[in-house]
Amino acid sequence: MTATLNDIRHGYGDVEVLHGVDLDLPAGELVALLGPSGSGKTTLLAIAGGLLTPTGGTVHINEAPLYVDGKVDRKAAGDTAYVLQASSLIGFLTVRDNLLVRDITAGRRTTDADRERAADLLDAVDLRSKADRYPSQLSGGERQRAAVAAALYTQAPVILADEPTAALDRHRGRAVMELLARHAHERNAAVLVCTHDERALDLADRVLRIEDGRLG
Amino acid sequence: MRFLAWREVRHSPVRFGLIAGLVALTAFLVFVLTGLTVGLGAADVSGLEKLPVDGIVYAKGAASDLSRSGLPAGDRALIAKVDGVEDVQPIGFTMADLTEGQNSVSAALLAMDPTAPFGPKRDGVVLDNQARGKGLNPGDTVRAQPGNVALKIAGFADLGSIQHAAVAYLPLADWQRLRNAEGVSAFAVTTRSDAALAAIEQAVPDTEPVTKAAAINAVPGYQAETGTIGMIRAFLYAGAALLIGVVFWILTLQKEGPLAVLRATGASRRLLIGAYVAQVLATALAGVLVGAVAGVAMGVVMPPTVFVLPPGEVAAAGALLLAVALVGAAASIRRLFTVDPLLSLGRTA
Ligand SMILES: Nc1ncnc2c1ncn2[C@@H]1O[C@H](COP(=O)(O)OP(=O)(O)O)[C@@H](O)[C@H]1O
Ligand SMILES: [Mg+2]
Repeated sequence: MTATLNDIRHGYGDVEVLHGVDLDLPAGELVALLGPSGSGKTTLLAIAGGLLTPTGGTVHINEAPLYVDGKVDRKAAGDTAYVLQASSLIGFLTVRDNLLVRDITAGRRTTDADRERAADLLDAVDLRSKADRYPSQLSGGERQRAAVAAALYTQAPVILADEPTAALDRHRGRAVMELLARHAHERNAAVLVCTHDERALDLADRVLRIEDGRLG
Repeated sequence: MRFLAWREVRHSPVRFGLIAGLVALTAFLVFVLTGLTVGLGAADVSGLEKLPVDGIVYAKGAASDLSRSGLPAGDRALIAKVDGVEDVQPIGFTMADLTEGQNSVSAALLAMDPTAPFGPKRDGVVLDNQARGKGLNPGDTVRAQPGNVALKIAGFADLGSIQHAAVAYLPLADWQRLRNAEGVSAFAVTTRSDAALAAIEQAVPDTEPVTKAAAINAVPGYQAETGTIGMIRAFLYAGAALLIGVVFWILTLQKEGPLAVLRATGASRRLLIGAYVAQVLATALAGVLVGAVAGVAMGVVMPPTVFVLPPGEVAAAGALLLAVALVGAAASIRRLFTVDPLLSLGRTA
Protein backbone atom coordinates (compact mmCIF):
# COMPACT_ATOMS: atom_id res chain seq x y z
CA MET A 1 0.00 0.00 0.00
CA THR A 2 1.26 3.45 -0.84
CA ALA A 3 0.49 6.99 0.12
CA THR A 4 0.89 9.78 -2.42
CA LEU A 5 0.83 13.49 -1.70
CA ASN A 6 0.54 15.93 -4.57
CA ASP A 7 1.25 19.65 -4.49
CA ILE A 8 0.20 19.95 -0.86
CA ARG A 9 -0.28 23.51 0.35
CA HIS A 10 -1.47 24.56 3.72
CA GLY A 11 -2.05 27.86 5.43
CA TYR A 12 -3.00 28.69 9.00
CA GLY A 13 -5.10 31.77 8.46
CA ASP A 14 -3.27 33.92 5.91
CA VAL A 15 0.14 32.36 6.51
CA GLU A 16 1.06 29.58 4.12
CA VAL A 17 3.39 27.09 5.84
CA LEU A 18 3.49 24.37 3.14
CA HIS A 19 4.21 25.59 -0.37
CA GLY A 20 3.41 22.69 -2.67
CA VAL A 21 4.87 19.46 -1.36
CA ASP A 22 5.03 16.27 -3.45
CA LEU A 23 5.72 13.10 -1.52
CA ASP A 24 5.52 9.44 -2.40
CA LEU A 25 5.49 6.80 0.32
CA PRO A 26 5.92 3.39 -1.26
CA ALA A 27 5.06 0.19 0.51
CA GLY A 28 7.87 -1.52 2.38
CA GLU A 29 9.89 1.63 2.89
CA LEU A 30 10.77 3.66 5.95
CA VAL A 31 11.11 7.29 4.92
CA ALA A 32 12.62 9.79 7.32
CA LEU A 33 11.60 13.41 7.03
CA LEU A 34 14.20 15.67 8.55
CA GLY A 35 13.68 19.31 9.23
CA PRO A 36 14.10 22.02 11.82
CA SER A 37 11.35 22.96 14.19
CA GLY A 38 8.67 24.99 12.47
CA SER A 39 9.48 23.70 8.99
CA GLY A 40 6.05 22.12 8.56
CA LYS A 41 6.65 18.46 9.47
CA THR A 42 3.68 18.10 11.81
CA THR A 43 1.42 19.91 9.38
CA LEU A 44 2.46 17.63 6.52
CA LEU A 45 2.05 14.43 8.53
CA ALA A 46 -1.33 15.47 9.83
CA ILE A 47 -2.46 16.13 6.28
CA ALA A 48 -1.14 12.73 5.18
CA GLY A 49 -2.92 11.10 8.11
CA GLY A 50 -6.34 12.63 7.60
CA LEU A 51 -6.15 14.87 10.64
CA LEU A 52 -6.00 18.18 8.84
CA THR A 53 -7.70 19.21 5.63
CA PRO A 54 -5.09 20.89 3.41
CA THR A 55 -5.76 24.22 1.78
CA GLY A 56 -4.62 22.76 -1.54
CA GLY A 57 -3.35 19.59 -3.17
CA THR A 58 -4.38 15.94 -2.96
CA VAL A 59 -3.59 12.91 -0.83
CA HIS A 60 -4.18 9.39 -2.09
CA ILE A 61 -4.00 6.27 0.01
CA ASN A 62 -3.61 3.50 -2.56
CA GLU A 63 -5.27 5.49 -5.35
CA ALA A 64 -8.23 6.44 -3.09
CA PRO A 65 -8.49 10.16 -2.36
CA LEU A 66 -8.19 10.87 1.36
CA TYR A 67 -10.02 14.18 1.22
CA VAL A 68 -13.26 14.47 -0.69
CA ASP A 69 -15.03 17.84 -0.78
CA GLY A 70 -12.83 19.14 2.01
CA LYS A 71 -13.79 16.23 4.27
CA VAL A 72 -11.70 13.23 5.18
CA ASP A 73 -12.78 9.90 3.74
CA ARG A 74 -12.96 7.56 6.71
CA LYS A 75 -12.30 4.39 4.80
CA ALA A 76 -9.08 5.72 3.36
CA ALA A 77 -8.11 7.21 6.70
CA GLY A 78 -8.75 3.87 8.36
CA ASP A 79 -5.68 2.48 6.58
CA THR A 80 -3.36 4.94 8.27
CA ALA A 81 -2.14 5.03 11.82
CA TYR A 82 -0.77 8.17 13.27
CA VAL A 83 1.64 8.76 16.13
CA LEU A 84 0.92 12.24 17.27
CA GLN A 85 3.64 14.55 18.44
CA ALA A 86 1.67 15.69 21.44
CA SER A 87 0.03 12.59 22.80
CA SER A 88 -1.85 9.90 20.95
CA LEU A 89 -2.97 8.29 24.16
CA ILE A 90 -6.38 8.36 25.78
CA GLY A 91 -6.00 9.49 29.36
CA PHE A 92 -8.73 7.36 30.89
CA LEU A 93 -7.42 4.08 29.46
CA THR A 94 -4.45 2.06 30.66
CA VAL A 95 -1.45 1.65 28.39
CA ARG A 96 -2.62 -1.83 27.35
CA ASP A 97 -6.15 -0.63 26.65
CA ASN A 98 -4.76 2.24 24.61
CA LEU A 99 -3.55 -0.46 22.24
CA LEU A 100 -6.67 -2.61 22.40
CA VAL A 101 -9.00 0.33 21.93
CA ARG A 102 -7.92 0.44 18.30
CA ASP A 103 -9.92 -2.75 17.80
CA ILE A 104 -13.02 -1.08 19.15
CA THR A 105 -12.65 2.02 16.99
CA ALA A 106 -12.06 -0.24 13.99
CA GLY A 107 -15.16 -2.27 14.85
CA ARG A 108 -13.18 -5.49 15.45
CA ARG A 109 -13.28 -7.96 18.28
CA THR A 110 -10.11 -8.37 20.25
CA THR A 111 -8.88 -11.98 20.13
CA ASP A 112 -6.43 -13.75 22.40
CA ALA A 113 -3.87 -13.51 19.62
CA ASP A 114 -4.42 -9.73 19.62
CA ARG A 115 -3.79 -9.59 23.34
CA GLU A 116 -0.58 -11.50 22.85
CA ARG A 117 0.47 -9.17 20.06
CA ALA A 118 -0.21 -6.19 22.32
CA ALA A 119 1.93 -7.73 25.06
CA ASP A 120 4.76 -8.38 22.59
CA LEU A 121 4.63 -4.81 21.34
CA LEU A 122 4.73 -3.44 24.87
CA ASP A 123 7.69 -5.71 25.44
CA ALA A 124 9.41 -4.35 22.38
CA VAL A 125 9.09 -0.78 23.64
CA ASP A 126 10.09 -1.86 27.15
CA LEU A 127 6.71 -1.10 28.74
CA ARG A 128 5.43 -4.55 29.68
CA SER A 129 5.68 -3.78 33.39
CA LYS A 130 3.68 -0.56 32.93
CA ALA A 131 0.86 -1.99 30.86
CA ASP A 132 -1.68 -1.34 33.60
CA ARG A 133 -0.70 2.24 34.24
CA TYR A 134 -2.54 5.27 32.98
CA PRO A 135 -0.74 7.70 30.64
CA SER A 136 -0.56 10.31 33.38
CA GLN A 137 1.56 7.87 35.40
CA LEU A 138 4.19 7.60 32.65
CA SER A 139 7.15 9.77 31.74
CA GLY A 140 7.17 11.68 28.46
CA GLY A 141 9.43 9.12 26.85
CA GLU A 142 7.28 6.23 28.06
CA ARG A 143 4.20 7.89 26.66
CA GLN A 144 5.92 8.28 23.33
CA ARG A 145 6.86 4.61 23.24
CA ALA A 146 3.35 3.61 24.22
CA ALA A 147 2.01 5.74 21.38
CA VAL A 148 4.33 4.00 18.90
CA ALA A 149 3.21 0.61 20.19
CA ALA A 150 -0.44 1.67 19.79
CA ALA A 151 0.15 2.75 16.18
CA LEU A 152 1.97 -0.47 15.32
CA TYR A 153 -0.75 -2.51 17.02
CA THR A 154 -3.22 -1.40 14.36
CA GLN A 155 -1.11 -3.15 11.69
CA ALA A 156 -2.03 -0.23 9.48
CA PRO A 157 -0.41 -0.34 6.05
CA VAL A 158 0.48 3.34 6.36
CA ILE A 159 2.17 4.59 9.52
CA LEU A 160 2.93 8.22 10.16
CA ALA A 161 5.04 9.04 13.18
CA ASP A 162 5.64 12.59 14.33
CA GLU A 163 8.95 12.80 16.19
CA PRO A 164 8.51 9.44 17.90
CA THR A 165 12.03 9.54 19.32
CA ALA A 166 12.14 13.14 20.49
CA ALA A 167 12.08 12.45 24.22
CA LEU A 168 14.05 9.21 24.07
CA ASP A 169 17.67 8.47 24.85
CA ARG A 170 19.92 7.25 22.09
CA HIS A 171 19.40 3.58 22.83
CA ARG A 172 15.64 3.69 23.13
CA GLY A 173 15.27 6.07 20.22
CA ARG A 174 17.15 3.61 18.07
CA ALA A 175 14.98 0.74 19.31
CA VAL A 176 11.84 2.62 18.27
CA MET A 177 13.30 3.39 14.84
CA GLU A 178 14.19 -0.28 14.43
CA LEU A 179 10.64 -1.25 15.34
CA LEU A 180 9.23 1.12 12.72
CA ALA A 181 11.70 -0.09 10.09
CA ARG A 182 10.79 -3.69 10.86
CA HIS A 183 7.09 -2.84 10.49
CA ALA A 184 7.83 -1.31 7.06
CA HIS A 185 9.90 -4.22 5.85
CA GLU A 186 8.08 -7.17 7.37
CA ARG A 187 4.54 -5.96 6.80
CA ASN A 188 5.26 -4.16 3.57
CA ALA A 189 3.92 -0.95 5.08
CA ALA A 190 4.58 2.63 4.07
CA VAL A 191 6.20 4.34 7.06
CA LEU A 192 7.02 8.01 7.35
CA VAL A 193 8.92 9.25 10.38
CA CYS A 194 9.60 12.89 10.86
CA THR A 195 12.33 13.95 13.20
CA HIS A 196 14.98 16.50 13.82
CA ASP A 197 17.21 13.86 15.32
CA GLU A 198 19.94 12.62 12.97
CA ARG A 199 21.21 9.75 15.11
CA ALA A 200 19.16 6.87 13.74
CA LEU A 201 18.91 8.01 10.14
CA ASP A 202 20.92 5.01 8.96
CA LEU A 203 17.83 2.88 9.60
CA ALA A 204 15.78 4.80 7.05
CA ASP A 205 15.51 3.63 3.47
CA ARG A 206 15.26 7.20 2.29
CA VAL A 207 15.88 10.55 3.97
CA LEU A 208 14.04 13.67 2.89
CA ARG A 209 14.65 17.16 4.13
CA ILE A 210 12.06 19.86 4.61
CA GLU A 211 12.74 23.50 5.22
CA ASP A 212 10.27 26.40 5.34
CA GLY A 213 7.48 24.28 3.91
CA ARG A 214 9.45 22.96 0.93
CA LEU A 215 11.07 19.57 0.41
CA GLY A 216 14.71 19.95 -0.45
CA MET B 1 -17.90 1.93 22.19
CA ARG B 2 -20.45 2.16 24.98
CA PHE B 3 -17.76 0.37 26.91
CA LEU B 4 -15.37 3.24 26.24
CA ALA B 5 -17.80 5.84 27.57
CA TRP B 6 -18.30 3.73 30.67
CA ARG B 7 -14.54 3.40 31.13
CA GLU B 8 -14.26 7.16 31.18
CA VAL B 9 -16.92 7.40 33.88
CA ARG B 10 -15.10 4.82 35.95
CA HIS B 11 -11.84 6.63 35.55
CA SER B 12 -13.30 9.91 36.83
CA PRO B 13 -16.00 8.84 39.30
CA VAL B 14 -15.75 12.09 41.23
CA ARG B 15 -16.30 14.28 38.20
CA PHE B 16 -19.25 12.29 36.91
CA GLY B 17 -20.60 11.85 40.43
CA LEU B 18 -20.54 15.59 40.99
CA ILE B 19 -22.33 16.22 37.74
CA ALA B 20 -24.97 13.60 38.48
CA GLY B 21 -25.25 15.14 41.98
CA LEU B 22 -25.78 18.57 40.50
CA VAL B 23 -28.48 17.21 38.22
CA ALA B 24 -30.05 15.42 41.20
CA LEU B 25 -30.12 18.58 43.31
CA THR B 26 -31.53 20.65 40.48
CA ALA B 27 -34.15 18.02 39.71
CA PHE B 28 -35.04 17.79 43.40
CA LEU B 29 -35.48 21.57 43.59
CA VAL B 30 -37.72 21.50 40.52
CA PHE B 31 -39.75 18.62 41.94
CA VAL B 32 -40.14 20.26 45.35
CA LEU B 33 -41.35 23.52 43.87
CA THR B 34 -43.65 21.60 41.55
CA GLY B 35 -45.03 19.64 44.49
CA LEU B 36 -45.60 22.80 46.50
CA THR B 37 -47.25 24.56 43.56
CA VAL B 38 -49.58 21.70 42.82
CA GLY B 39 -50.21 21.22 46.56
CA LEU B 40 -51.03 24.87 47.07
CA GLY B 41 -53.34 24.90 44.06
CA ALA B 42 -55.00 21.71 45.23
CA ALA B 43 -55.57 23.18 48.69
CA ASP B 44 -57.49 25.94 47.02
CA VAL B 45 -59.59 24.01 44.52
CA SER B 46 -59.27 20.22 44.80
CA GLY B 47 -62.70 20.03 46.44
CA LEU B 48 -64.21 21.45 43.26
CA GLU B 49 -61.97 19.37 41.04
CA LYS B 50 -63.24 16.21 42.64
CA LEU B 51 -66.87 17.01 41.80
CA PRO B 52 -67.71 14.89 38.74
CA VAL B 53 -69.77 17.60 37.05
CA ASP B 54 -69.43 19.67 33.88
CA GLY B 55 -70.46 23.09 35.05
CA ILE B 56 -71.71 25.19 37.92
CA VAL B 57 -74.62 27.58 37.77
CA TYR B 58 -74.04 30.62 40.00
CA ALA B 59 -76.26 33.59 40.70
CA LYS B 60 -75.65 36.44 38.31
CA GLY B 61 -73.21 38.96 39.79
CA ALA B 62 -71.73 36.46 42.26
CA ALA B 63 -68.47 36.39 40.30
CA SER B 64 -68.51 32.59 40.32
CA ASP B 65 -67.89 32.66 44.07
CA LEU B 66 -69.84 30.01 45.96
CA SER B 67 -69.76 32.13 49.13
CA ARG B 68 -71.45 35.00 47.39
CA SER B 69 -73.87 33.05 45.22
CA GLY B 70 -77.46 32.32 46.18
CA LEU B 71 -80.26 30.91 44.07
CA PRO B 72 -83.84 29.82 44.79
CA ALA B 73 -84.24 26.05 45.12
CA GLY B 74 -86.98 26.21 42.49
CA ASP B 75 -84.42 26.97 39.77
CA ARG B 76 -83.51 23.31 39.82
CA ALA B 77 -86.59 22.34 37.86
CA LEU B 78 -86.06 25.18 35.35
CA ILE B 79 -82.46 24.18 34.73
CA ALA B 80 -83.38 20.52 34.38
CA LYS B 81 -85.71 21.38 31.54
CA VAL B 82 -83.00 23.09 29.49
CA ASP B 83 -81.95 21.20 26.38
CA GLY B 84 -78.64 19.35 26.88
CA VAL B 85 -78.79 19.24 30.66
CA GLU B 86 -78.56 15.70 32.01
CA ASP B 87 -78.49 16.25 35.74
CA VAL B 88 -78.84 19.16 38.16
CA GLN B 89 -77.76 19.01 41.78
CA PRO B 90 -78.22 21.84 44.28
CA ILE B 91 -75.12 22.86 46.22
CA GLY B 92 -74.88 24.73 49.48
CA PHE B 93 -71.59 26.25 50.48
CA THR B 94 -70.32 27.87 53.67
CA MET B 95 -66.95 28.22 55.33
CA ALA B 96 -67.40 27.10 58.92
CA ASP B 97 -65.59 25.89 61.99
CA LEU B 98 -66.62 22.50 63.28
CA THR B 99 -66.04 22.41 67.02
CA GLU B 100 -66.32 19.77 69.66
CA GLY B 101 -65.02 20.77 73.08
CA GLN B 102 -61.36 21.75 72.58
CA ASN B 103 -61.20 20.27 69.10
CA SER B 104 -61.89 22.36 66.05
CA VAL B 105 -61.50 22.00 62.31
CA SER B 106 -62.10 24.72 59.78
CA ALA B 107 -64.09 23.26 56.97
CA ALA B 108 -65.54 24.18 53.61
CA LEU B 109 -69.06 22.88 54.00
CA LEU B 110 -70.36 21.50 50.72
CA ALA B 111 -74.00 20.57 51.03
CA MET B 112 -75.90 18.42 48.59
CA ASP B 113 -78.93 16.22 48.28
CA PRO B 114 -78.29 12.91 49.99
CA THR B 115 -79.44 11.33 46.71
CA ALA B 116 -76.85 13.16 44.57
CA PRO B 117 -74.88 10.68 42.44
CA PHE B 118 -71.55 12.02 43.73
CA GLY B 119 -72.65 12.81 47.25
CA PRO B 120 -71.70 10.95 50.43
CA LYS B 121 -75.09 9.22 50.60
CA ARG B 122 -74.88 9.30 54.38
CA ASP B 123 -76.52 11.21 57.15
CA GLY B 124 -74.32 13.63 58.97
CA VAL B 125 -71.02 15.20 58.01
CA VAL B 126 -68.34 13.45 55.99
CA LEU B 127 -64.95 15.15 56.40
CA ASP B 128 -61.95 15.11 54.13
CA ASN B 129 -59.17 12.78 55.30
CA GLN B 130 -56.94 15.71 56.27
CA ALA B 131 -59.24 16.29 59.26
CA ARG B 132 -58.36 12.90 60.70
CA GLY B 133 -56.33 12.95 63.86
CA LYS B 134 -57.62 16.31 64.96
CA GLY B 135 -59.67 14.90 67.78
CA LEU B 136 -62.89 14.50 65.80
CA ASN B 137 -64.15 10.96 65.39
CA PRO B 138 -67.11 9.33 63.65
CA GLY B 139 -70.11 9.49 65.94
CA ASP B 140 -69.00 12.75 67.55
CA THR B 141 -71.38 15.63 67.53
CA VAL B 142 -69.83 18.92 66.48
CA ARG B 143 -71.16 22.43 66.42
CA ALA B 144 -70.90 24.39 63.21
CA GLN B 145 -69.97 28.06 63.66
CA PRO B 146 -71.39 30.42 62.55
CA GLY B 147 -74.92 29.04 62.83
CA ASN B 148 -74.42 27.02 66.00
CA VAL B 149 -76.05 23.94 64.55
CA ALA B 150 -75.25 20.49 65.90
CA LEU B 151 -74.01 18.00 63.29
CA LYS B 152 -72.97 14.39 63.63
CA ILE B 153 -69.74 13.20 62.07
CA ALA B 154 -70.45 10.23 59.80
CA GLY B 155 -66.91 9.53 58.65
CA PHE B 156 -63.98 10.52 56.50
CA ALA B 157 -63.37 10.37 52.77
CA ASP B 158 -61.10 11.82 50.09
CA LEU B 159 -62.98 15.05 49.40
CA GLY B 160 -60.18 17.58 48.92
CA SER B 161 -59.99 21.21 50.00
CA ILE B 162 -61.52 24.48 49.02
CA GLN B 163 -59.77 27.74 49.91
CA HIS B 164 -57.31 25.88 52.13
CA ALA B 165 -60.07 24.33 54.27
CA ALA B 166 -60.98 20.66 54.41
CA VAL B 167 -64.13 19.92 52.45
CA ALA B 168 -67.02 18.53 54.48
CA TYR B 169 -70.05 17.03 52.76
CA LEU B 170 -73.37 17.37 54.54
CA PRO B 171 -77.04 17.01 53.62
CA LEU B 172 -78.59 20.11 52.07
CA ALA B 173 -81.30 20.18 54.74
CA ASP B 174 -78.71 20.54 57.50
CA TRP B 175 -77.00 23.30 55.61
CA GLN B 176 -80.30 25.14 55.12
CA ARG B 177 -80.91 24.83 58.85
CA LEU B 178 -77.44 26.22 59.49
CA ARG B 179 -78.03 29.16 57.16
CA ASN B 180 -81.62 29.49 58.24
CA ALA B 181 -82.51 29.80 54.55
CA GLU B 182 -84.59 28.02 51.93
CA GLY B 183 -82.42 28.56 48.91
CA VAL B 184 -79.16 27.04 47.69
CA SER B 185 -75.74 28.49 46.77
CA ALA B 186 -75.52 27.16 43.24
CA PHE B 187 -76.28 24.16 41.05
CA ALA B 188 -73.84 21.58 39.79
CA VAL B 189 -74.85 20.43 36.33
CA THR B 190 -73.97 17.55 34.07
CA THR B 191 -74.43 18.47 30.44
CA ARG B 192 -74.10 16.96 27.01
CA SER B 193 -72.03 19.95 25.85
CA ASP B 194 -70.94 23.40 26.96
CA ALA B 195 -73.66 24.81 24.75
CA ALA B 196 -76.17 23.72 27.37
CA LEU B 197 -74.54 26.17 29.82
CA ALA B 198 -75.32 29.11 27.53
CA ALA B 199 -78.84 27.78 27.14
CA ILE B 200 -79.29 27.74 30.93
CA GLU B 201 -78.31 31.38 31.12
CA GLN B 202 -80.95 32.17 28.48
CA ALA B 203 -83.67 30.07 30.04
CA VAL B 204 -83.25 30.74 33.74
CA PRO B 205 -83.15 34.40 34.79
CA ASP B 206 -80.39 35.74 37.01
CA THR B 207 -78.10 32.75 36.56
CA GLU B 208 -74.49 32.65 35.44
CA PRO B 209 -73.45 29.13 34.39
CA VAL B 210 -69.73 28.45 33.92
CA THR B 211 -67.68 25.39 33.07
CA LYS B 212 -66.01 23.51 35.89
CA ALA B 213 -62.61 24.79 34.75
CA ALA B 214 -63.84 28.38 34.89
CA ALA B 215 -65.35 27.75 38.30
CA ILE B 216 -62.00 26.49 39.57
CA ASN B 217 -60.17 29.52 38.17
CA ALA B 218 -62.66 31.79 39.85
CA VAL B 219 -62.03 30.45 43.35
CA PRO B 220 -60.89 33.49 45.33
CA GLY B 221 -57.09 33.73 45.52
CA TYR B 222 -56.47 30.76 43.22
CA GLN B 223 -55.31 32.69 40.20
CA ALA B 224 -53.20 35.12 42.20
CA GLU B 225 -51.47 32.26 44.01
CA THR B 226 -50.90 30.02 41.03
CA GLY B 227 -49.89 32.99 38.89
CA THR B 228 -47.16 34.12 41.27
CA ILE B 229 -45.82 30.72 42.05
CA GLY B 230 -46.16 29.73 38.41
CA MET B 231 -43.84 32.55 37.49
CA ILE B 232 -41.30 31.45 40.12
CA ARG B 233 -41.59 27.98 38.70
CA ALA B 234 -41.02 29.19 35.16
CA PHE B 235 -37.84 30.97 36.28
CA LEU B 236 -36.65 27.89 38.15
CA TYR B 237 -37.27 25.74 35.09
CA ALA B 238 -35.40 28.17 32.88
CA GLY B 239 -32.53 28.40 35.36
CA ALA B 240 -32.35 24.64 35.81
CA ALA B 241 -32.42 24.10 32.06
CA LEU B 242 -29.65 26.64 31.51
CA LEU B 243 -27.52 25.23 34.32
CA ILE B 244 -27.81 21.63 33.20
CA GLY B 245 -27.35 22.54 29.55
CA VAL B 246 -24.19 24.51 30.31
CA VAL B 247 -22.76 21.80 32.57
CA PHE B 248 -23.07 19.18 29.85
CA TRP B 249 -21.86 21.62 27.24
CA ILE B 250 -18.67 22.13 29.23
CA LEU B 251 -18.34 18.45 30.12
CA THR B 252 -18.42 17.57 26.45
CA LEU B 253 -16.10 20.39 25.42
CA GLN B 254 -13.52 18.91 27.78
CA LYS B 255 -13.50 15.83 25.61
CA GLU B 256 -11.75 17.69 22.85
CA GLY B 257 -8.37 16.00 23.47
CA PRO B 258 -9.48 12.38 23.86
CA LEU B 259 -11.99 12.82 21.09
CA ALA B 260 -9.30 14.04 18.71
CA VAL B 261 -7.15 11.05 19.56
CA LEU B 262 -10.05 8.71 18.92
CA ARG B 263 -10.81 10.44 15.66
CA ALA B 264 -7.15 10.10 14.71
CA THR B 265 -7.43 6.37 15.28
CA GLY B 266 -10.19 6.31 12.71
CA ALA B 267 -13.19 5.90 15.01
CA SER B 268 -16.38 6.74 13.16
CA ARG B 269 -18.40 9.76 14.03
CA ARG B 270 -21.44 7.61 14.68
CA LEU B 271 -19.59 5.40 17.13
CA LEU B 272 -18.20 8.34 19.06
CA ILE B 273 -21.43 10.32 19.14
CA GLY B 274 -23.35 7.22 20.20
CA ALA B 275 -20.96 6.62 23.06
CA TYR B 276 -21.08 10.20 24.31
CA VAL B 277 -24.83 10.48 23.99
CA ALA B 278 -25.14 7.29 26.03
CA GLN B 279 -22.75 8.70 28.62
CA VAL B 280 -24.58 12.02 28.89
CA LEU B 281 -27.95 10.30 29.09
CA ALA B 282 -26.75 7.87 31.74
CA THR B 283 -25.22 10.64 33.88
CA ALA B 284 -28.25 12.91 33.59
CA LEU B 285 -30.69 10.06 34.08
CA ALA B 286 -28.90 8.92 37.24
CA GLY B 287 -29.22 12.47 38.57
CA VAL B 288 -32.86 12.86 37.62
CA LEU B 289 -33.73 9.49 39.17
CA VAL B 290 -32.07 10.39 42.46
CA GLY B 291 -33.83 13.76 42.41
CA ALA B 292 -37.16 12.11 41.64
CA VAL B 293 -36.78 9.56 44.43
CA ALA B 294 -36.01 12.39 46.86
CA GLY B 295 -38.97 14.40 45.53
CA VAL B 296 -41.37 11.49 45.86
CA ALA B 297 -40.05 10.78 49.35
CA MET B 298 -40.80 14.40 50.19
CA GLY B 299 -44.37 13.80 49.01
CA VAL B 300 -44.65 10.84 51.36
CA VAL B 301 -43.46 12.89 54.33
CA MET B 302 -45.41 16.08 53.61
CA PRO B 303 -49.19 16.24 54.02
CA PRO B 304 -51.12 16.21 50.74
CA THR B 305 -52.67 19.56 51.60
CA VAL B 306 -49.25 21.14 51.15
CA PHE B 307 -47.37 18.97 48.70
CA VAL B 308 -48.70 17.03 45.74
CA LEU B 309 -46.30 15.64 43.13
CA PRO B 310 -48.21 14.11 40.21
CA PRO B 311 -46.23 11.45 38.25
CA GLY B 312 -46.94 13.32 35.03
CA GLU B 313 -45.18 16.42 36.35
CA VAL B 314 -42.20 14.33 37.47
CA ALA B 315 -41.95 12.73 34.04
CA ALA B 316 -42.26 16.07 32.25
CA ALA B 317 -39.68 17.86 34.41
CA GLY B 318 -37.34 14.86 34.22
CA ALA B 319 -37.67 14.70 30.45
CA LEU B 320 -36.97 18.43 30.21
CA LEU B 321 -33.74 18.09 32.20
CA LEU B 322 -32.63 15.10 30.13
CA ALA B 323 -33.41 17.00 26.95
CA VAL B 324 -31.39 20.09 27.91
CA ALA B 325 -28.48 17.87 28.97
CA LEU B 326 -28.54 16.35 25.48
CA VAL B 327 -28.89 19.73 23.81
CA GLY B 328 -25.92 21.10 25.77
CA ALA B 329 -23.83 18.06 24.87
CA ALA B 330 -24.97 18.17 21.25
CA ALA B 331 -23.94 21.81 20.93
CA SER B 332 -20.35 21.00 21.88
CA ILE B 333 -20.24 17.71 19.99
CA ARG B 334 -21.17 19.64 16.87
CA ARG B 335 -18.33 22.03 17.48
CA LEU B 336 -15.81 19.30 18.26
CA PHE B 337 -16.54 17.47 15.05
CA THR B 338 -16.15 20.49 12.83
CA VAL B 339 -12.58 21.10 14.00
CA ASP B 340 -9.73 19.19 12.39
CA PRO B 341 -8.37 16.75 15.00
CA LEU B 342 -4.85 18.18 14.72
CA LEU B 343 -6.09 21.62 15.71
CA SER B 344 -7.97 20.14 18.67
CA LEU B 345 -4.80 18.46 19.81
CA GLY B 346 -2.74 21.58 19.24
CA ARG B 347 -4.94 23.29 21.74
CA THR B 348 -4.79 20.62 24.40
CA ALA B 349 -1.16 19.50 23.90
N1 LIG C 1 -2.51 25.83 14.68
C1 LIG C 1 -1.62 26.67 14.11
N2 LIG C 1 -1.96 27.95 13.88
C2 LIG C 1 -1.10 28.81 13.29
N3 LIG C 1 0.13 28.48 12.90
C3 LIG C 1 0.55 27.21 13.11
C4 LIG C 1 -0.31 26.24 13.72
N4 LIG C 1 0.35 25.07 13.80
C5 LIG C 1 1.56 25.30 13.25
N5 LIG C 1 1.68 26.57 12.84
C6 LIG C 1 2.85 27.16 12.18
O1 LIG C 1 3.10 26.43 11.00
C7 LIG C 1 4.48 26.24 10.82
C8 LIG C 1 4.81 24.76 10.72
O2 LIG C 1 4.50 24.14 11.95
P1 LIG C 1 4.64 22.58 12.20
O3 LIG C 1 3.99 21.88 11.07
O4 LIG C 1 4.20 22.28 13.54
O5 LIG C 1 6.22 22.42 12.09
P2 LIG C 1 7.17 21.33 12.74
O6 LIG C 1 6.34 20.15 13.10
O7 LIG C 1 8.17 21.05 11.67
O8 LIG C 1 7.81 21.96 13.91
C9 LIG C 1 5.18 26.91 12.00
O9 LIG C 1 5.60 28.19 11.57
C10 LIG C 1 4.10 27.02 13.03
O10 LIG C 1 4.30 28.16 13.81
MG1 LIG D 1 6.11 19.21 14.85
